[in-house]
Amino acid sequence: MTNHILTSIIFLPLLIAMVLGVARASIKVIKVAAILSSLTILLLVIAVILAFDPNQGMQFTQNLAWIKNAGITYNIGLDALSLIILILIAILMPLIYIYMLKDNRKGYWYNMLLLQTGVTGALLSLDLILFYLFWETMLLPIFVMIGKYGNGLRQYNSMKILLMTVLGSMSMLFSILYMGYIYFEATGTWSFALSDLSSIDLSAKASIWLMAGFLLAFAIKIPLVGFHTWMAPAYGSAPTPAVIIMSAIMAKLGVYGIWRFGYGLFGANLHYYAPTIIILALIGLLYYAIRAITENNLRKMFAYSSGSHLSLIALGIFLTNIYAWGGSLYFIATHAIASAGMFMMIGLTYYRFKTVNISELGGIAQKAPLFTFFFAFFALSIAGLPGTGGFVAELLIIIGAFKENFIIGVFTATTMLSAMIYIFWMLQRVLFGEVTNENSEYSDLSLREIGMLLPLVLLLLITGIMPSLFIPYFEPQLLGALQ
Amino acid sequence: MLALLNVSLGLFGMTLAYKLYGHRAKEVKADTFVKRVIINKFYVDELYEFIIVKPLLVASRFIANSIDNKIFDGFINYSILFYRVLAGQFIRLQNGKVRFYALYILLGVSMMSLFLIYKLGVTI
Repeated sequence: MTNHILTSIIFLPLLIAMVLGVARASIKVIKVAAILSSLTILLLVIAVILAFDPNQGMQFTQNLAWIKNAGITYNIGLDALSLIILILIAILMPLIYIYMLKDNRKGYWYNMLLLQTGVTGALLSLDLILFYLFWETMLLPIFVMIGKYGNGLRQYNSMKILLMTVLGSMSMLFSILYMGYIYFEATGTWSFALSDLSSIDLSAKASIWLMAGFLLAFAIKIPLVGFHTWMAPAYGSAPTPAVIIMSAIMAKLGVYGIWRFGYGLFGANLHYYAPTIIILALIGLLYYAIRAITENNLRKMFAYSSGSHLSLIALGIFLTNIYAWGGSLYFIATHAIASAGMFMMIGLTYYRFKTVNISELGGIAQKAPLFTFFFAFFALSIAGLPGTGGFVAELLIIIGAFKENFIIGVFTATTMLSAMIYIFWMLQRVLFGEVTNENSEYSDLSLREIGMLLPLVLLLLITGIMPSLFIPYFEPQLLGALQ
Repeated sequence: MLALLNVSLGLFGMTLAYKLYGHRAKEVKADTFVKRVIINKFYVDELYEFIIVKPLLVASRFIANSIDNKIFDGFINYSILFYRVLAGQFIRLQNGKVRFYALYILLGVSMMSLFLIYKLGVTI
């Protein structure tokens, strides 16, 4: 059972999508099956959490030969870092399905099922070719969801995200293949397993180029400043479920990739790029935050906000001390929850007002108090309100930054401040002030909507008030990796 | 001692406020410098507006209109332009006339033959 549990978690959605597709199931059956699959996965993940031992490294590993001639294996496993993101996927998917409940387009649901397989597979693979396969698998549904179900310049924007991301993943594929070849030259056998490739000795020059290949893929996915042209258009055009996955899961997989494959393959050599990434991240923090101030489209504003916070996470990963690393991991989780909630609220705003432009909204607080509460709560937790998880995480990263260097610390601390500026100004214009949309009839949150938002609120509060519940899960691994 | 000072200052403020606004309520004219400063809340709002808000808005618009649009997006768009220009040159080769294609084949075969003979030393 424990051997196959991760495989079940990865492939259950894909299997269900295939069975439903072959059987030409009706939309009602698809909805029920998708929700049941996500709940089953949630239960399986809970079983994984209960059996997880924080003091051991890789667990639940499964290693099967796949393409023997080329040494490609089906190798999956889980450690503390992937467990955090796995929990996030497991929690968010059922909530996203509840959000989508009224949507009757079949393709929408199929794409979400495929997407879940893609992100989970990329998260758990320990073989680089397998990782690459899933890395591309998760891009496809996003491409279709933006191009077919999006809004605005959807086809242009979906082509843009496809081209940018493929540029990154091609460079990564090149690095993967070259490393496999070096391993073949050294040992005479082919292998693409992470544990094998991390053991090869690379010349300094080769490893600089190979690292660049990986980092380009991850920098585009995060995105670091300069690699972000796809971000705002894609977030602006994508339907809400796709935006939630992009911001809450896929961007985090970029950071996860730096950790798993950057540090996993190159170890301390990765620090050749540390100054570059730290500077890009510091610029990104402020650049995105300042850009967000005058953005009129809520989705794009929180795209920039997401970019700003992911720069902070990437920064934390490159500051090698326990505070920064712990903070980054914690922020991966809390920002995912907060941004999922925020993008859900933006989606609900669109349902009610048929617009997400700040200039066309206003005075919501007078008519819909519950809506206002949730909207403000998620927005403020993104800004790092004390008492929510984001505050703890940002604080840890800022402490870590000050430990590293005073100037980096000062710059990092400004991120909380700059987020406050655009968030409060946005809240003032959207929720308060004059009612600008008198004509549109709108209601406060329904029970279904409260049901999908409340778990996120509770999680943010628990992570904010009791971080000591969660930190022991990943601290041993971080301390071990630091030594 | 400090508490006493605080309380007496507070009382003084209250008395002053009562004198100004409560007792014979009439509008205070901003005739002296001090009154003008106080009426305008020590110009704190204007100071913030000038030091923080304006520069941030200017910077934000500059990023949105210039850096994001022209440099980052521009880089992508110009790289597309490069391929478009290159493709425009290649279009000339594919003009649909068979005699041109025959010429290209002849040129290619001759160049390959020359390469084989002089560079690789192939003899017939």
